[in-house]
Order: sequence, then C-alpha cells, then structure tokens
Amino acid sequence: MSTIDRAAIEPRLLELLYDKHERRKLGPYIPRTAQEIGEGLERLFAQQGIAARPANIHRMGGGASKEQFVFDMVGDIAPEFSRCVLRMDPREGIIETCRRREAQVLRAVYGKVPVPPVLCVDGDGVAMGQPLMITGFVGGVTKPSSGGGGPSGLKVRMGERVSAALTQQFIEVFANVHAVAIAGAGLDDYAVPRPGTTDAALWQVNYWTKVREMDGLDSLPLLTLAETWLYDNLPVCDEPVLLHGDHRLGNFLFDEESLRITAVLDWELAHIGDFHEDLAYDFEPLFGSVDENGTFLVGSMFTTDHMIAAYEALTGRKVDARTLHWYKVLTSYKLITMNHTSSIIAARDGTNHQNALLAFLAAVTAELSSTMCDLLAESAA
Amino acid sequence: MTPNPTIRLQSLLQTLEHVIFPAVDSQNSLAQEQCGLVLGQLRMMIQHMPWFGAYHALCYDDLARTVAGLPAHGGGDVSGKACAALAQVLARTAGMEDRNAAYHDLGHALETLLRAVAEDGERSYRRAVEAQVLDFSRRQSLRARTWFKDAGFDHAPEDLPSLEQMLKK
Repeated sequence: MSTIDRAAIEPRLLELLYDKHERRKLGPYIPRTAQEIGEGLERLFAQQGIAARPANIHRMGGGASKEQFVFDMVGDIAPEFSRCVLRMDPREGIIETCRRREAQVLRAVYGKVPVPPVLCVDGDGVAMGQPLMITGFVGGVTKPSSGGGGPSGLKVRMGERVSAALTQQFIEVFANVHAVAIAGAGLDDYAVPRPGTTDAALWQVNYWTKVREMDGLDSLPLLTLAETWLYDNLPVCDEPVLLHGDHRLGNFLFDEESLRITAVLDWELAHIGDFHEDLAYDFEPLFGSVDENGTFLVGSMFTTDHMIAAYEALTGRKVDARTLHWYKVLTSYKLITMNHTSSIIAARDGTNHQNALLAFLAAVTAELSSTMCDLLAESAA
Repeated sequence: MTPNPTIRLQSLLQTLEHVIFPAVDSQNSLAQEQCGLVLGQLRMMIQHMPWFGAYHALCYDDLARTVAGLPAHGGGDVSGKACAALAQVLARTAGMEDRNAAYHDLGHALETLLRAVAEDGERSYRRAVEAQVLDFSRRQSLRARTWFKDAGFDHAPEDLPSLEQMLKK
C-alpha cells in the first residue's frame, strides 16, 4: 500500500473542498428570497451583457444539493431561454461541486444527450455571493404522477407502461454520455485519468476519503473497512470516458404524454473515469425497486442483466464482473460518505437551504450500510 | 421532569401540524417540503425519545464486546500501536456515562486499527479483525435500520423488529 499515491485528487475538486472549509467560517446560511434572487440576476445580466431581465421568479422544489429558482426572461433573448432555471450553491451541502464544471459538461454533451442549454455561469459567485449557473427550462417530470416516492427521487414506482417506453431511451442516453469525445470538448476544469492505469479508481477513493477526513464527525468502522478494501483492489481502467456520476431515477425528466426523455439533469458529479462506475451507481439498490419475484429493477424499470446486455450491444464494451463489483463498493462508499459526513455537518451548522432534508436523509446510511456489508462479504467469499 | 420531553415534543408536533403548517404559503414549494420533513423527523424523535439511552448502550456494548473479542495482536509497529491504543480506549470508554460518545470514541480507535492492519498487520490477524468488524457492522446496520425504519428508506421494513423488541432483548 505504500506505493499508492493517496494525494492524487482532481485539482479542481480539492480546491472546492478547501474553499468550502473557508466558507464554513461564515456561519449559517439563510435561503434567498425571490426578491434577492431578482436583484442578483439583474446584476448578473448586466455583468455578462445579457439584454433581458428576469420576471415571475419562483423557487423550485426538490434538489438536495442546490438552490433552484425558475423564472421568465423578458427582452432580447433566444427562445430556448424564454424561461430559465438558476442553480446556485448553498454555503455547504451534501456534496461540494463546481458550477463551472457543470456548465462545461452540459455544453460538451449538448446535442448528443437531451440536456438544458446553458445561458451563463458565474463560477466564482461574483453576482450573488454564491457560484451559480443558469440554463434554459425544460419541461417534464421525474416520476409518474401516480409514482409515489420519497425525497430526491428515492422509492419511486415507474409502472409497466412508463418502464416499457423509457427503458431503451434510458440506456441509450447512458451509452451516449460515455461516447462523448473528451479531447476538445471544452472540459477545461476536468482531469483525465491515464488509460491503462488505476488512476480512475484511485482518484475516486482518494477524493471520498479526503471528504471523510475533512467532514468526518461520527465513527463508522464499516466505512474504513471498505476504504482499505478499495485501496487493496484498485482496478485498471483501459479507456476513461465521460461519466454522468449521478445517473439514476430522479435525475432525468420525461414527458408524461409522449413518454420521451426530455432532459438529463444534475451533472454536478460528472467526471472522467471507468464506465463501470456509472453502471454500478445505477445498480445501487436505493435507486431502484424489487419486483414481485424479488428481482431488483434498475430505476424501478428493468433488470441489471438487461442493462448490461443492452449496454454491451450499444457500445461494444464488455462488462467485467470484478470491476463492476469494485465500483459497487465505491458507490456505497461515496453515498455513505455524503450522508454520514458532509450532510450531517451542514445540517449541524445550518449552512444549507434544506438543513431539515439533510438531517432526514442521513438516516439512509442504515440502508446503505446493509448493502455495503453484503458487498464486502461477497468480496471476502 | 414534568412535562416530560415526549409530551413537550408532541405538543409542538400538534401545533405545527394543525395550526402553523396549514398557514404556510401553498405556492412556496420549499416551505411545503420542509414542513413534511419537520413532521416526519419530529414523529421519529417522539418514537425514539424513550429509547435513546437503551439504543446507545446496546450499540456500545456490542462494539465493546467486538473489540474485546479481537484476536491477540499480530503484525508490525503500526498495528501494535493501534492495538494498544484501542485497548486503552476500551478501558476508558467502559466508564463513560455518555454511551453515544463512548461508542464513537471506541469506533474511531477501531478505525485506526483497521488502517493499521492494512498497513502492516499479519495476514491472518488482519483477516480475523476484518471478519469481526464486518460481523459487527451487520448487527449495527440492522440496529440502525430498525431505529430509522420510519424514515421510509428501508428495502424490507416488514422484516425488521419494533424498537421495543430490539431494545428489550
């Protein structure tokens, strides 16, 4: 283990973690009012030379990590921006991500994957004190009106009709993200792991372990057991690809009438890595459901076998069972880290716009730990 | 203490549910969502209120038994120091009144040992430590799932015991 470079983390992501710790000193965060947002948008548009003004500003529901507002644009503006969405960082959240990176990836995949168009980005928070991004508004729902479910798209039931219509689209979108050519895509704030090395896996373990180190509060020996297993079994990635990083039910919109996917959202965890990572994330039990036969359904829609077969057919890649397993452990590791550390710290310090949600979501660590135990037991067998 | 904390919380819950939350702007989706979360969290806390002490004691006692049952040290200096430190923390926390703080102090020391045995522990020693930590983690996960069953995240809530069943064992 002495040869592993535990300091290897994407530079921009490390910078964000240190910035967050500085911001923490500013104390609790008070959610912005629509009026404050309106004034901030006026400043932003003046700074960026956008000849329009905001109107009918409303806060959007959902979103465990960013403050979101929807508003109309009045003035000289392209039709796709006649209605817009503002995504703005709170002081702290369940994850620490970069609006500049998110805008870069949205621009890189635009036209290849259904995503909202980017109007502008203020990565340093010049206009409103917090980093932000503005995109065009795209209509759609994250779940059927009758789908039930809990916070953040969890425990949703899609139903047979919706599942039948969305399954192939969902997998095609997934494959299309991985097909984006990285070179020349404008992903300036992203680091690219070296092909044929363990960089892709190592950077992930290092990053989430750093988050634990900086945000850790309560003990969880299981997480450290996973940490040592992950370092011991780092897989090689031959072909790093663009990953969505949070590809799951709740993070895409579809039209309830046409049953077409209208937009893939929440690209803040996007990075370049091993395609198994996105697959493993989709296979996390929390993001699906079990059918009447006890079979797990990805996104409450289809089986893991179906997803693997369809993905292999679309991409020509072969899914490696051992690598997939490693990334399942990583998925558990990072989800527990988010909920067991950063989430609780933000809720404790009142530095988020949804402190009650973060404190509530932290309870999910119990369920995630159960999955982690199963995965590590499988590894030891 | 009169009124007891459960009655105080219940009175807050009723007031929030029937007086304050209905007056919240129905167009303010953030406020509406937070109301639901506040109610859910308060209901869980009222349910947990009589059991906090018993739950923390149960978790600590199992962790302490796990640590006490670890095999004799085998490995290099790093493992040796972590093993000795763990024994000291076990002795110190045994007398702590705050069982939740005791649990996390001991848990952190166990995490240090896990990293140490990964660095220079003998293979068989490391395997034995890790196997016991995994067994403990399974039991702890089951306890935590039961504790937070009403949060609605569990994949099989019907398989879990009630808080009373778990804590009166």
